[in-house]
Amino acid sequence: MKSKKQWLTAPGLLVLLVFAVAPLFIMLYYSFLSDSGAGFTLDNYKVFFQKSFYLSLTWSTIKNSIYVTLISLIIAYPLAYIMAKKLKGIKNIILILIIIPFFTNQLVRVYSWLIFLQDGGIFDAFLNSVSIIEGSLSLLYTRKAVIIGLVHAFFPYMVITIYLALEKVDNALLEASSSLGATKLETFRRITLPLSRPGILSGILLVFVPCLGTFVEPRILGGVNGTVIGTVIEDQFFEIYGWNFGASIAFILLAMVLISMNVLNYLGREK
Amino acid sequence: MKKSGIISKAFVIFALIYLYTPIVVLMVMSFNSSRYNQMPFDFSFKWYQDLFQNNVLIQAAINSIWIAAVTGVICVILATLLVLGSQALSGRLKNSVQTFMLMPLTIPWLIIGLSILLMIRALDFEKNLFFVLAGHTVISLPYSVLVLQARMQSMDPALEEASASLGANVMTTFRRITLPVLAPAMVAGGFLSFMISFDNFVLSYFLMPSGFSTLPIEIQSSIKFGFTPEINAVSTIIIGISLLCLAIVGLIMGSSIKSLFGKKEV
Amino acid sequence: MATVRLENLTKKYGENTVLDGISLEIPEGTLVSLLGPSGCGKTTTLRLIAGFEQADGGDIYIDNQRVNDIKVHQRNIGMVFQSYALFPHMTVWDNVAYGLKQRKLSKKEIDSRVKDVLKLVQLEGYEARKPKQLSGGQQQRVALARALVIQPKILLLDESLSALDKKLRVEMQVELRRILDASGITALFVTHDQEEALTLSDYIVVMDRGTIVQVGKPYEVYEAPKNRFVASFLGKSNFFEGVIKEKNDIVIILETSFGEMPLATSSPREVGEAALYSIRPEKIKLEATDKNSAAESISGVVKFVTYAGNISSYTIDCNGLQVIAESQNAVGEFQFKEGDLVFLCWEPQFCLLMEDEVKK
Repeated sequence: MKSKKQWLTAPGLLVLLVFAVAPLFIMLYYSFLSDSGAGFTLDNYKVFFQKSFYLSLTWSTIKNSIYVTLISLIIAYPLAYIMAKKLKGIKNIILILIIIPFFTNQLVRVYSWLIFLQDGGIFDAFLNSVSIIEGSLSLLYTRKAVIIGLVHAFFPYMVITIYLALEKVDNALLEASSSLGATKLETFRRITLPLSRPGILSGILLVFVPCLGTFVEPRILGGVNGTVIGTVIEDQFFEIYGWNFGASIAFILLAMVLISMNVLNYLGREK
Repeated sequence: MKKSGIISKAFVIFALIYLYTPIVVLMVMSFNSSRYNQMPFDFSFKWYQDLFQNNVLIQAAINSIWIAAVTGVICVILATLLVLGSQALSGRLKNSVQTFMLMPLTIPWLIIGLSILLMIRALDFEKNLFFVLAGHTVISLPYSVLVLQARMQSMDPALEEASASLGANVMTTFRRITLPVLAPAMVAGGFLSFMISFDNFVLSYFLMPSGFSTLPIEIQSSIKFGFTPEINAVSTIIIGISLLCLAIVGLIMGSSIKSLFGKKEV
Repeated sequence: MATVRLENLTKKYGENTVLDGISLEIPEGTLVSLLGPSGCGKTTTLRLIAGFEQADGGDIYIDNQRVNDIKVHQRNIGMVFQSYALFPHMTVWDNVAYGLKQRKLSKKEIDSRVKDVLKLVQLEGYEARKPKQLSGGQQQRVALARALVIQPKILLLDESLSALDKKLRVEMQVELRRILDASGITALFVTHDQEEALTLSDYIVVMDRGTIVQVGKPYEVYEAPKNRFVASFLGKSNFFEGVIKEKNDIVIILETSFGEMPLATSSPREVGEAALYSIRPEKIKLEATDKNSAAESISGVVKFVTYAGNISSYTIDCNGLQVIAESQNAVGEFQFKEGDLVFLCWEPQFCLLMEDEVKK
C-alpha cells in the first residue's frame, strides 16, 4: 500500500524536472556556446571576468543588496522587537498590516513609488508645502530610489522572521537576567540578541538573496543609474540578443545566489 | 517607561507610513483627474470610466485571470499529490523530495523565466501559452505545497487509523477523511498560487507570445512608453483582488498563514 | 464479545526488538490493562491487535480465528485513540454513525443505534456539535461511543484518559467502568498510570522491555509482586538484599550489608543462598517500644517525616539501610518525630521473596 502511494509524487516531480531543472541545464549549455557558431567555448565567462565593467557591475549589485539588507535590518529589528515585546492587543493587527503589502503586485508597488517620487510628484509637493526644500529632490532615477523601492519590497520579510524568533523568547528569561543583576542593555546584548539570531539570519537570507536577482525595481526606479546584473541580463536577451553571453551571466548570478544561501545557512547551523 | 512607549509607537507608525504611502498615493491618484498625477487633487471617476472602454486592458485582465485560475488549479492538484505521496516516503528520500518541491523558491524568477525561454529556443518552438502556464506553475507550486504541507503535518495520523478501525477501506478513508480534512488547505493553497500567478510579471514578460498580454505586462509597457492614467485605476483594482484573495486565504487558514515564510520574489 | 489470544508475538523496528515473543490470553467480557513504562511495548501490542502494524512473528487470535492477515477495516475492532482522533469536519452524530455507514446499515438502524449509544455515554443533545465545540471529557465520550456503536469484538483503549486533568480523569474512570459493564465488552486498555490500572481493570498485565512480567488481578499484582520491577513500578516497596544465614520454622535471618535482618517468613531458598525480599511501606507497623520480643522486629531512627494529609510517610534509618514506612493519620494514632527511636514490625506474609536473581 505504502509503496504505491509514493508514486503520487511523480506528476509534480516530473513538472519540476522538465520545467525547472532541465531548463537550467539548457541554460548552462547555451552559456558555453560561441556566438559565431564555433561550438563550445569559455569566452562568455572570460569576457565577464576580464572586463572591468562586469566586475564593477557585480560589485555594485552586491553593494545594492548589502545596503538594502542593512537598512531593512535597521528598520525591521526595532519594529519586530516592539511588536513582540511592547505591543499587546494590537500586535496581530500590525502583523497583518505588515504582511498585506507582500501580496500587492510587484509592478503596482514599483509604479506607485514612481509616481510618488517623480519630479513635482507627491513627495516633492509634500516637502515643498512644509518648506523643507524648494523645487525638487530629483530622487527618481537614482540609486537611492532603487534602494528605497527594494527596502520597501523586502523589509517586511525580515520583520516577520525576527518577530517570530523574538516571540519565542520567553519573557521569564529576560526577567531572570535582570534578577541576576544585568542591566536592560546587558540583557538585550547577552540574552535577547543571541536568541533572535536565527530570525536575523533567515531575514538576511530572505532579503539579500532575492535582491541579487532583481531587475524590475532597478530598471524602473533607477533608470540608467540603476544598472545591476539583472538589468544587464535582461538587456542581453531583449535588446542586444546576446543570448549565450546572457546565459553565462545568468549562471554567474545563480552561482552568487547559491553561494550566499549556503554561507547564510552555514552561519545559521553553527549555533 | 512612558517615553519609550511613545517612541515605540512612533516607530511603528513611521514604518507603516513607509509601507503604505506609495500604495495609498496610487489608489488616491486613481481618483485624480490630472493626467500626470499632479496636484492639486481633483476628484473624478474619469480613469475608471476610461478603463472600462479600454479593450486592451480589459483583455489583459481577462488573460491574467484565466492564466492564474488554470495555474491555481494545476498547482493544487500537483501539490496535493506531492504532499500525499511524500508522506509515504521515509528518511533521506523524503527530505530530498521535500526540499526539491520547494526549490523554485530559491532561484530568482529572472533565471527561471530565462531558462524556460532558452528551452523553448533549444526545442525550436514558438513562444506559446503552454510554456507560460508551465512557468507560472513552477513558480506558484511551492506556495500550494507549503500550505498543504502545513495542514498535513497538523493532521492527526490517528484519524486515518480511526477510520480504518471503524471499517472503512483505503479509498473510503481517503475520500471521507483525508480529502475533507485537507480541503480548506487546498482552497487556500489554490488561492495563494492564483495570486502569485496573477501578480507575476517576470515569467509572463519572458514567456508571453507576442500579441498576448497580462495586466502586469500592460503596467510595465505603460511605464516604459509613457503613462496611461488608467493604470492607476487598474492597479487599484489589482490591489483589491489581491486583498480579497488574501482575506479568503486568511479566513481559511487562520493564524497558520505565518507558516508561509519561505516566500520570496524577484 | 470475544476472547483474544496472543501467541509468541514479536515485533521489531530495524534492530530494535519492541516485543519479544509475548503470549497472553484475554478472557471474554473482561477489562484488561497493559501497564508499563514508556517503551515497554504496550502500545505496540495494542496496535498489532488493531492491525495498524504487522507482527514479525507469532499469532493473534480473536475468538480462535487467526487475524494476522486480516486488514484493519475488516477486523471489527473498536479503538479509542489517545488523541481521540475525532473527525474534525464531522458532527458528533456523523462521527458516531461513520462506522455504521461503512457497514451499510439501513438509515433506521443507524439512527436508533447512534441514539442508544449517545444515551449510554450521556451525550444526548450534542449530536449537531463539532468536536471542537466539546470539552475534553465530552470528546472522550464521543470517541468511546464511536468505537462502541459498531459492536466490536474487542475494544482497544490507548492511554485514552491521559489527556484529561486529574479530577476529570477519575470521574471518567468510573464512567468508563459503568459503560463497559453495561455493554459487557472485552476491552484492552493501555496505560502508564498505575492508579488507573488498579481501579479500572479486571486483570493487569505488567510489561517491561518487550516482555510480560506479571499477569493477575489488581490486588494480586499489588499484594504479591513477582520481582523488583513490579514491586517498584506498581506502588512503593522496601527491598532487603542479602544471604540467608539461618532458617527455621518461624524466622529467617538475612545477612545484609547493613547487618543481620530478621525476617518472619518462610522461604524456598536455603541457607547460604542469596535472596531479595520486599515489603510495602504501609505493611510496616511502627512502635515506640519493642512490644514484640520476637526476632522479626528491628529498630531504627526516624530521619524524615513527610506529612501527606491522610497518611504520614517515615524514612527510617536502620543501621544505614533506609526503610520507608507509612501510617494512616487516624484519630489517636501515635505520631513520631524526626530523631525518635522506633521499632519496625510486620506480619510474616507481607515480607515477599522476589524472583530476581541476586548475586552473592
